Amino acid sequence: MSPVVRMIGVCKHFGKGEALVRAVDSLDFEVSEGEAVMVTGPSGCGKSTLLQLMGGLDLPTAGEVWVGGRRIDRTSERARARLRREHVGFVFQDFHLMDELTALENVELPALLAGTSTGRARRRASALLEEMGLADRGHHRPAQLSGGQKQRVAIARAVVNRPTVLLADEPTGNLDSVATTEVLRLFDTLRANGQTLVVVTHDQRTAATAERIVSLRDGAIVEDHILAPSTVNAADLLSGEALT
Amino acid sequence: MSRIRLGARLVGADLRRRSAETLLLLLALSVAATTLTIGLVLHGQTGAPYALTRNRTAGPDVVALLFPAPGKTLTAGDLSSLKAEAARPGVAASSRAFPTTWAPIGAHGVNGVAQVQGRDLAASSVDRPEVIDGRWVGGRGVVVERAFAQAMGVTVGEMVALGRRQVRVVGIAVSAALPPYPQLCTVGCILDRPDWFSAQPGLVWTTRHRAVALASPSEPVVWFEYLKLHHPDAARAFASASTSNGPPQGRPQLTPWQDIAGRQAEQLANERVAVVFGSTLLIMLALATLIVLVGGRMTDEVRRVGMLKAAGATPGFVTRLLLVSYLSIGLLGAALGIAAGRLLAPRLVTLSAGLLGHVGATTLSMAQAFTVTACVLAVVVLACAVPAWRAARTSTLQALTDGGRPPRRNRLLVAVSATMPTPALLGLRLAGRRPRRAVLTTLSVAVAVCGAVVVLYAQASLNADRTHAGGPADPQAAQLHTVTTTLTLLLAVMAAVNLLFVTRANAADARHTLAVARALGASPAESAAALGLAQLIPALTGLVLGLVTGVLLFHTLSSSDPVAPPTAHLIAMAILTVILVAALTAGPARVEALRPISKSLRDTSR
Repeated sequence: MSPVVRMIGVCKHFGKGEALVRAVDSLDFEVSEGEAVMVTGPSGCGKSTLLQLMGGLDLPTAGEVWVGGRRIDRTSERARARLRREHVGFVFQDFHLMDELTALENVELPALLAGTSTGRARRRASALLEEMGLADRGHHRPAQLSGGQKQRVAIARAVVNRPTVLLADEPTGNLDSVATTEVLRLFDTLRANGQTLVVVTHDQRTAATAERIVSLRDGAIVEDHILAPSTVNAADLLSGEALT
Repeated sequence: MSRIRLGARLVGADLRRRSAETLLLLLALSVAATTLTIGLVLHGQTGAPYALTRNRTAGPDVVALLFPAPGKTLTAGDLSSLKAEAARPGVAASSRAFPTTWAPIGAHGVNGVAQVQGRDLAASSVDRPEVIDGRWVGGRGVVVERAFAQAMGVTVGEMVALGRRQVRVVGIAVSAALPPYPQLCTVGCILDRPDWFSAQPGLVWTTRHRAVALASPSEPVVWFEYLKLHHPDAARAFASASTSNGPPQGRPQLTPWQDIAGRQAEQLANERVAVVFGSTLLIMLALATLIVLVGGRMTDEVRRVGMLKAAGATPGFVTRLLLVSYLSIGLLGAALGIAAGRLLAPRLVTLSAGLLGHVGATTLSMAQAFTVTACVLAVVVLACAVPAWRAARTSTLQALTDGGRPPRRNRLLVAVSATMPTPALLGLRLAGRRPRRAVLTTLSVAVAVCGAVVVLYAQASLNADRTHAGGPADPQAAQLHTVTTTLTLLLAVMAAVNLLFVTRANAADARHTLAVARALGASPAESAAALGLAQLIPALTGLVLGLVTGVLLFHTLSSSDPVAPPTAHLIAMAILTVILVAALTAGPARVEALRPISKSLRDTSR
């Protein structure tokens, strides 16, 4: 399978002199189409920075970043904006939903930004919310939703434009175990539908649900495991059903 | 005592931490206080200069003016009616009757009309003009009233063309008997020549013989006589008793000194109205600035309040702390404004050269200083009391974790904007998030534009008067022009300061929304345009509102038919406003749009 994301000798440094921090250091990395990758490691190892570089939210100090067959580290902010619109979906630990918009309006926003007509954007958003089990929460504002519901809305928003790759930064970091199960079940469904996924997490249980686990330490990859296809899905693992 | 010291330390630290905002706020409040002070200084001045001049020049209590019947000239017998007035009960003293006529005058290429009064060489018992330069009327030459001399640009020793002859200016003098240039005619004139229809004559004193010699059939000799009464306050009753039976036919027209004082005060009164109007608008702008500033700081303040409360501070202490923080800026602003106002009043507003004395800084009473301070502090309390109270009432936990007031949702705007291009989609939604701030932007621009429109109308009226009148420059109009232009500039500066505050507050508030939008695919240019549009929409509304209000206000306030300024001027002002708003918004919007997305998301994580 062709790589959807490709990083060659990527470095991201912050500060200078003695205060220099090597968040990502000479990293080579590839993600194939339809692959689900969990990136793990301790706090401050560069997981989130790696994800931001992949999504074009930040630029590397050195190296090459390719997404969907295009090199993005030398393109303008405008071109990267177009890339995010068409090829990348983001899910954040803090959800980053817009407080003044309803769940439905939050989900349809990327579609509207991409120029989709109002009617089509609304229909697609409604369908996604239904898939996420939030059909009755479409007109609720984020403040009226639970953490798990907010994250499901954020996931629906991330996939509304059918991105090439979905990047999730600690998507279960702010959730309790029930909500975590809900979110992981959604990722399972997306993976089953062929969605390419890169999920950053420091939760070993969440990481255990992936096909491939990449471990990071001090900005470099220390382990890259491709696991045998599992018949146990993530939600069952977390809910304990797989153990019985 | 230790709590007061702690409070003072916290207030000091807060003001230092936000030195740029503190300075801008200080500027806003000082400018408002300065104009208010100038307005109050002028209020105390309107009557004083005339009283001083009247006292120093033995000014009359009543001016008697005898006109000939149309097409006729006055004979010696006609003057008996003037003598009769002087003989009325209540008259303490009277001058001789002075022959007066009107003649063309020219110097340095400036042509005007002189009201030439024939005087004696000896000083009169009533009305002894104070010679400021040169000497009094002699065998040769003329003495020119100071305001008129300044308008004509003549000085002692120079030659002027008076009638058909060249005469030397031998003196410059000031009198309280008649209003100085350009209001001399308000007592009475005969200007029958077609080109003199709307001329503003100035007073020139010469010998009786020369004055009479200058008379012509169209401008015959009239006679002035000045009366002193035993009871000057009864002058109005004295004058009206003579004319109670209708207009004077063959009898003199009597003008009490209060009417002349009123004319003298008109100039300052116009300027006072302009300054008070301007200071009212400036205070409104200062209030809007303060509300925006306090609102913009509330996110930070609420967290600070949370920390203070967590450390054991009571809600009352927190409220007082916030209020004292802003009131201390208000007090300093009032003090600076009063000092600047006292200093600027004599420079910005000079009295008519036809009067003695000057606008004195020392005339600001304690009560007036208190009024200025009270106004400034009231503005501060009005803007801060509710946010300070709300901050103090917020629970400690909420204050520590919350990031200010949640944004508003405008369902209609969200629905309408969904059909629009990205900048409009995001811009309209951003504007709808903070409706109160949008209203303040609208009002700020409206106030500044309204002030500018009124000034444009006022200046158009002044220009029309001047064009109509011809002759030498009108010093009052020129001064009013200076005052109104200065006020317009101050209003523009204040509105700009206000817009800067609003833009900064909006940019900070929109940081999260724009970062998310960019993460979802909006480009920096679209984000910057959205932020600019969010500012421009209420500003354009304010522009339209200001234009309409300004025109209506001028039509309402104007006693005579208002003269509209050229449409091009109004259009230019509107374009300038849009450019100014766009320029003030573009910088912060561009900076915000280019901020790294990951940093913005990190900074705004809740």
